[in-house]
Amino acid sequence: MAAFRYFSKKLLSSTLKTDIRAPVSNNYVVCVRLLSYTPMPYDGNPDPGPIFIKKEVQTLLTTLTRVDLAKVYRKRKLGGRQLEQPVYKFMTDEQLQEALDEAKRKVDEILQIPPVVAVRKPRDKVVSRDPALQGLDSSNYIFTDISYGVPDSERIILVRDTEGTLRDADWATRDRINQMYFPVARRQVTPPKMFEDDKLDDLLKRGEYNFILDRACLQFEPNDEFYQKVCSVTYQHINENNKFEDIRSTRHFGSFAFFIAWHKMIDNLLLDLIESEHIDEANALVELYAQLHGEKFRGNSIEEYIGKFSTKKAALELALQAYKNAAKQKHALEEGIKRAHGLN
Amino acid sequence: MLPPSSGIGQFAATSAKVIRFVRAGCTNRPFYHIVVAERRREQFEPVIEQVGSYDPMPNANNEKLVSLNLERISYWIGNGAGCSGPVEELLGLAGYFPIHPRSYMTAWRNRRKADEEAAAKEKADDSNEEKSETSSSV
Amino acid sequence: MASQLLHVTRTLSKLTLNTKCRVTNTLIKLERELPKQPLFNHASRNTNFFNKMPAEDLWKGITTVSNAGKKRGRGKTVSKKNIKDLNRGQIIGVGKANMLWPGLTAPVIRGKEIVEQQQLPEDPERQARLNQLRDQMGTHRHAKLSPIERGWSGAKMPGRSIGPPDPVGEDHFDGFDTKVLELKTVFNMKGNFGRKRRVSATVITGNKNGLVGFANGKGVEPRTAMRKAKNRSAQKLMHIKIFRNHTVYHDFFTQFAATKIYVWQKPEGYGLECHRAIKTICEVVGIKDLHAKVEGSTNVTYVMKAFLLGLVRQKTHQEIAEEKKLHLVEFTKETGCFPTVLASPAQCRKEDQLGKDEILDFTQYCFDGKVILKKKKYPPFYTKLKSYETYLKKQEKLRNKDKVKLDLIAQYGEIRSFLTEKYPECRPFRRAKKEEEQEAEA
Repeated sequence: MAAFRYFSKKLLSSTLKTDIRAPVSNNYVVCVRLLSYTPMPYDGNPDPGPIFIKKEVQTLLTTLTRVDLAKVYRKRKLGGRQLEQPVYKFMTDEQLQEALDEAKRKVDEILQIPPVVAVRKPRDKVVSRDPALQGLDSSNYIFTDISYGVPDSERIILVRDTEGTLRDADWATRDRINQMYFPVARRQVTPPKMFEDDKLDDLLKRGEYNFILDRACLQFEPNDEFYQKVCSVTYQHINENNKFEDIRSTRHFGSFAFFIAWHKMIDNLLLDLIESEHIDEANALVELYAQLHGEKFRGNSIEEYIGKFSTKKAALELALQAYKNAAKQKHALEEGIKRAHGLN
Repeated sequence: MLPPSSGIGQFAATSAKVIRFVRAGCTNRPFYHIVVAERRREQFEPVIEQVGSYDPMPNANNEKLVSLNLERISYWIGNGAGCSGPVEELLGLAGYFPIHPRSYMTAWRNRRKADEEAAAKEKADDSNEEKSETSSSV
Repeated sequence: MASQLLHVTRTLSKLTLNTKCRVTNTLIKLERELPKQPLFNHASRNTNFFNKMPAEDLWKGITTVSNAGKKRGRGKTVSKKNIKDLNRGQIIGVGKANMLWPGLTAPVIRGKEIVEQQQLPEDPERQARLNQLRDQMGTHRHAKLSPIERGWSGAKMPGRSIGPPDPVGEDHFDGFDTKVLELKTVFNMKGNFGRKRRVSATVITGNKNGLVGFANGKGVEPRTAMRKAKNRSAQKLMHIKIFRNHTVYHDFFTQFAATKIYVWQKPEGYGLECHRAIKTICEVVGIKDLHAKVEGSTNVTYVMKAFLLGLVRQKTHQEIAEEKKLHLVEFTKETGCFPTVLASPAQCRKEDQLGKDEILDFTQYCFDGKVILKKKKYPPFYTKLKSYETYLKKQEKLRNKDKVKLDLIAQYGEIRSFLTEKYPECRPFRRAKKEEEQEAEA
């Protein structure tokens, strides 16, 4: 990651100096493209995990997700499997209500936000060194403890390398071995090709955000650096193209909102919320921003945010003013109707 | 129909048990199950329990994969089961047993062989160089 | 024999040179007069079977069998395929040697000149043309049908489409299609005529959107029978309800005489899995997914009548809900089993108002309480054989082969592994395509 940043910085400086249209090699082209979205995993301080699981933050994220039952229970592809015959039931009013309630209760489970945690630390524990074993074999041995009831993250996976050192396996190896001996359904041993740069770019252009995020959730652990890279690039693409509606009412909207608030780029979403007159959600978003960055707004938090931190001040102020005017007109109209009906 | 390779769990109470390999691969492609079996049984008879596997062919990342159900292995060893030589070697490399002397011996022999080969090669190179030098001087 | 006798007498005469013997002289004279032919000969005649009978009779003798003969089973091998009229294409005066015969193959006088007999250059294509003509003879072939146009069996009519019904006045049957269900020969006894042969056709017509009609027509020719039936079927249209434009509203059981049909609703993409007549009807009606099982008689007409009866008697979900006075709710897997209300009654019953033995299971309700007898499936006989065990053992190591193949193709684009570089000779044999082979040769 660091290497990538270093390289991209170098590239930026060099492109600033020289003409960008100068003949460049193939590698160059890829990097120039990637420059538009720098992958931003949660690798710095502070750790986002404890903040993310705070109750207030979770409530704010759920508010922002905006539950729409039709979208939560939308028709999904079954991945090549044949459709099954639906089940029909006769129900009384009470039974139907119960079934609907059950479906509403299940929404929390379906919309469970993928955890936001810091990137996992590299594993480099050495168990024993035995140089006398040098030359025993030309390949490494990987020993996996397959005792039952041990979670994947705590499983003993050791490598005896050709130098005779017995050490802990690194994360990539652990993922591979875990998937080999304890397969997660539909997860692949090697990450699928769709996460490669050019293919991911194509998917982003086609706006297949849910597909990317769902597959990433399935394939990787939430503290995997590659997962966070893929997600961050996708979130940035969504944010830049204002495609919030695509992931609203899915489990990914919470993570997305957290991401943009964490990296201080909530202006696009805020503008969208004000323009679509979801002022509660706009408030929640600003509140989330305050929670993550330890700010405290007094009075009208949106106005305060726009004044202090916004980078799109003019557009936001205009939208807010328009919203206020519309609200005032609406209020006046309601009053008028009430008076006409003789209610006042 | 076929007895499961994970074992049938049937055995005589007083018979001698042993942890050993059962070859489960195809022709030219060895693969071993590490199993607990009665010592008097043949290799391909139904086993008591499978406690691991061993793939002696290096994979694409040059790794030989070994899986061990250490919990069950401990149980069977505690119940007086023995281990075959290759299994003892593997468990030694895994850090579960002390390293088997044969592992050290093999490593030492391999190293000696490599040294000898390197020395022979050096010698051959030297003589070649000398020859080339002499030929050039001529 | 005679010549041998003569030979003997000649030698005798040579032996007695000086003697004058008249007998030998006369014999020698005889020899001169007699032609050199064997003394005895077989009887022969110059008229035979072929030049005594007229050509017509001869052809008849080969190509047909008398009625009496047919009854005894003769002439089974006589097929029209093998009969070829070799006279066809042959003209008197035109032959292998391309001669010009004035008065036969050419006019006697051309302009002011008299045409002379003349040898023209040989025509090399004459024999080829004749052969081609002969090859065509006797092998009359039906025009090849595309698989879509084909009926249930070969080029037979049942199952084939015969187009929309003819317009009546200004009413056109746009979007309609007619399919033949049955085409058979029927006989009728007439008082003075005896057996009268006609063709009976049963067809079904529909607009693939719920409108459907069937009819029977008879005629001397199959074509007229089908046309009559088609146009009559267009006059008897009925409407059938189709659920979500692809299947039936609910499972049902239907019966006509001894034909019993169980019909199951199926999800999209399932297809039509049923008797071929039912499949044809569904195609015309516009039903795309369904499973049906015919029990009892499979007479096509009865199957059709039973099935259409069942289709017409379908209830909509609203009707069912009203009848039961309960909500009808759908749970599908692809929407995460969310309760989707299909129909609600005007007045819903309470839980305590439900009858004690009332059928509340929807499938049971659709089959009217009937339970389908499903026979227990026994394992096939070979699973008990020793050889099957051997087979299983051998197959066990191949159990993931196809998946591995697919993975390798996904990863490398062909069946190879990371070891292929080290052992390039170890790759699956692939037969080169013909083009590649030719290229390699070139």
